[in-house]
Amino acid sequence: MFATGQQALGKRRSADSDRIIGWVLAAVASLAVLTLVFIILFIAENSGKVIGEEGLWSFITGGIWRPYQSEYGASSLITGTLLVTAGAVLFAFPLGLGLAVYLSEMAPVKVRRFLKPAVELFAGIPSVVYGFLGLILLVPMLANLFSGQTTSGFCWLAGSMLLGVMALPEIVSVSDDALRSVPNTYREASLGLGATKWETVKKVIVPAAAPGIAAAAILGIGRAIGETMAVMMVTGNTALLPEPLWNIFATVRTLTATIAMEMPECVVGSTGYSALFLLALILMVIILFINLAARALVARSQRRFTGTPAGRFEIWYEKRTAQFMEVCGRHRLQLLRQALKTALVFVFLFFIVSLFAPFGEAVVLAAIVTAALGLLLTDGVRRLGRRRVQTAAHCGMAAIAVFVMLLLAVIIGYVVINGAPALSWSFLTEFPRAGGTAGGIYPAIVGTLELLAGTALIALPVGVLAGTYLAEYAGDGKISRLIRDAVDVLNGTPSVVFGLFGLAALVTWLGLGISLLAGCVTLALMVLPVIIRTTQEAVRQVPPELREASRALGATKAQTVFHVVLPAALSGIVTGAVLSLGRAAGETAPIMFTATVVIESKLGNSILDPVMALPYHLYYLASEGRADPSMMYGTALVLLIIVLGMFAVATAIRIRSERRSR
Amino acid sequence: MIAGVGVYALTNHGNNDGSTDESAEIVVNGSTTVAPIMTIVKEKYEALYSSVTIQLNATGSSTGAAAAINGTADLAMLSRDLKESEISDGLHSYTIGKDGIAIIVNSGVTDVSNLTMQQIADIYAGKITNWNEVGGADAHINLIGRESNSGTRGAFEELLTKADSTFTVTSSMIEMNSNNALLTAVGNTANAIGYVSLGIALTAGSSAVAILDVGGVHATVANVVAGTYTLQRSLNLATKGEANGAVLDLINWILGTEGQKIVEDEGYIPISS
Repeated sequence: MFATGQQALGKRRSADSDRIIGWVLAAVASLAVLTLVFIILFIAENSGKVIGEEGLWSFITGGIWRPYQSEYGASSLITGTLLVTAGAVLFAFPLGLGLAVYLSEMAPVKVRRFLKPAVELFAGIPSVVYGFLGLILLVPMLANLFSGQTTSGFCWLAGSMLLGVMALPEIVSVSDDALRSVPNTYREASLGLGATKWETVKKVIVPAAAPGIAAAAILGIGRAIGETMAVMMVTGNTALLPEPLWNIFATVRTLTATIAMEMPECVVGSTGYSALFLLALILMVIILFINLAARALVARSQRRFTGTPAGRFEIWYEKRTAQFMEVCGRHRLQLLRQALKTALVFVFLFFIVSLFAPFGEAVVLAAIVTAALGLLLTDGVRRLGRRRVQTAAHCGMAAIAVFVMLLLAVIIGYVVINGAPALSWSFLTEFPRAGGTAGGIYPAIVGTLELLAGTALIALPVGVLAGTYLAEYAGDGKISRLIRDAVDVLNGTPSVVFGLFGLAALVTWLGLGISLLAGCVTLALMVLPVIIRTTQEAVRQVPPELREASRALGATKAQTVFHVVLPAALSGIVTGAVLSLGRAAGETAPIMFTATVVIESKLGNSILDPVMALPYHLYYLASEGRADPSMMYGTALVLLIIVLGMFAVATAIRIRSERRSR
Repeated sequence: MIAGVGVYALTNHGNNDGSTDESAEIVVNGSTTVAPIMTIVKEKYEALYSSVTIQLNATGSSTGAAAAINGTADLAMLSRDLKESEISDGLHSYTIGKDGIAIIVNSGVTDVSNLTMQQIADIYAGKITNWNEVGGADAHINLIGRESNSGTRGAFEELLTKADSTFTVTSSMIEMNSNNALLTAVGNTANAIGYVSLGIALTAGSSAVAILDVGGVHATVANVVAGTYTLQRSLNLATKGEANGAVLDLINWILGTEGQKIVEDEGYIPISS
């Protein structure tokens, strides 16, 4: 496997092949990236018309969205997206990080083996199912619980909760991989210094894993911000600003819901059509800003570990704090920070309480709760003692795990209970009859399997090679960072936009027609960003010692990458691939324009024939079908089982690779 | 790599475009409201004429029309009338049936069984916000409607504008994006009102919602046919240029007895009556 270094000839040959492999990787990476850039250009080009007619500024700041009266003011949609996403992150990030910490640092191996794939299962539930569950369970529940605040139950809060749950698998899995890739020497050193396990987690492991956790958060935000089918079922979709702005019980409408709702019935090439593309473009800019902010935060926390020089802003910031400290002294600065934190907590609490109580009472209540929290957290922690804090933290994390499992049980239980009655041999093996109200879903099962296989065949090699190139060869320069931004931005692009890109570029321009092939390429483009990003992250997390050892033994760079680095990163890569394919399996929008037909009476016999697919069949039954709901849930259940099978294979691969590397 | 696959696809694509003589493939795309009719038409028509294959997509009225214009579909399905721009792009439409629009309420709303057009207009304009203003209990009306591009909504609001020329819909209406989603939303939301394709409302037979009378007239197929139930709209097919060949045969079959029977079975109103 490794060059022994005895023969000069052999060495030169391997150096040549090394260079060739480098070029091939670069070619694949640039092809992938070019395609992604092409999608961004496609969206920008299509949004030109409305910018010309309405002006960009008045489009963004305008308050009224009435496309049927040619009024295009997107401010309430932008606000809606920001609010719902912020709520989703507030809900999902603590939960996800807590669960990841539990998985990686506290859970017994057996629990972990069960829990990790279980969490990933969230990603395999089609968003149509999330949407209907939200509509049937969550919305009426909120209406009953908060009858004074919302009459209908359709609200921002419902959207945030739903999206939070949908973003969980990405946040948990990617954070978990990041935490586990922190070298054991860190843990041992910290524990050796007498820190408790919890202190080690809090002060050493989480900070060391910060870039990976940030990537997790960004992927999660991307998932939440770009989601379409579920969020529009529960937020009410009114293009109005909430009153007051922090009213979590107000109805809101997001950018993605607007795109997904209005696109299918929008005259192609019209101003309204172009306006929807501009909404997608705005969404991309929002994601870009979130990324830049997240990266700045991570860079700050990372400097302690890597010793990389500070950026201009950081130097300015450090200088200012140093100056400030000189003026008022360390103790006072600390007090100031404490006061600032307290004020933040107070304002947050006031916002929440003011929704339930009049102004005066809200101020008093918020003040009391803030004071109580302050006492509990500072004095309480000190009095509890470090051991007890450790126990409390452990219990807290375990409680989060139990809570998330309960959520999963409710969701999956619902699908199983409602879908099981429809399951039968004929349901699985027959063609649909009477417009899908009778017969089976055989062609949809076949179509989904074909779509998944084709997507994996295209996206996996391209994505893994591109990600590897970016992490191992491209360095951390400007171009590499630019690519990372492009990839992240696309990850948050609503899937319906990919569908329209596929329609324009593949179906019409390349002349593939509505076909299996066009669907596979479209889905591959959609999952490519996630695969590239997670591969990059997983490869980066492989400790440098492994590479150095391999090179010291005389292995070429290519040999090191393919025989040492990639196997070590396999677990993370598989996670990314599985999550994205699970998501692809349940997506409707990208395939409905490119690959699927409503009903098939015989299977297609080439990759240029259209197919039926489970998520689209589900979408059709859910939106206009006449079938009784058990057909719909039966379809969802079959889809879930397929995804489950896929995850099982992935878990097996991961367990094997973990066993080898530990 | 993608480009390579594309070239392969192009060279193979010739077989697929369909020679018209012996076997014809008719590509149909468009409205999800019309799609239930076409799924049955496909099943029956293919069984009758084994040489014909109907490829059926349903991505929405407008994407269907666009597909017919640019030639990727032979036949578009629309739950609305053609827009000016679509007519000038050469589309011809054929009305194959009608659909009533049912006013539905959550089954918990028991004291109201009839609304006048003026009352409906006032409710959707946001002027009436409580059920007690139209003879019901003291409860806030949860107003639910369709997304702005929906054919159902377009027809609904046009009819309300005819009844009340000052009508504009309130921005605080909750919007859902399909007939079934709206039906589920009204069924699960206390004190909710909504409007939905009569075909869907009748065939769904949901006990969670009740169908209201409008101006004292029951929402039934017979009353839509008689013209006494005024909330209705047309369902159309469209071709680029006049239809001919296999496509014309198909349209004629749908307009014939067997086709119109399917339209009726799906809860819509046949054109002949």
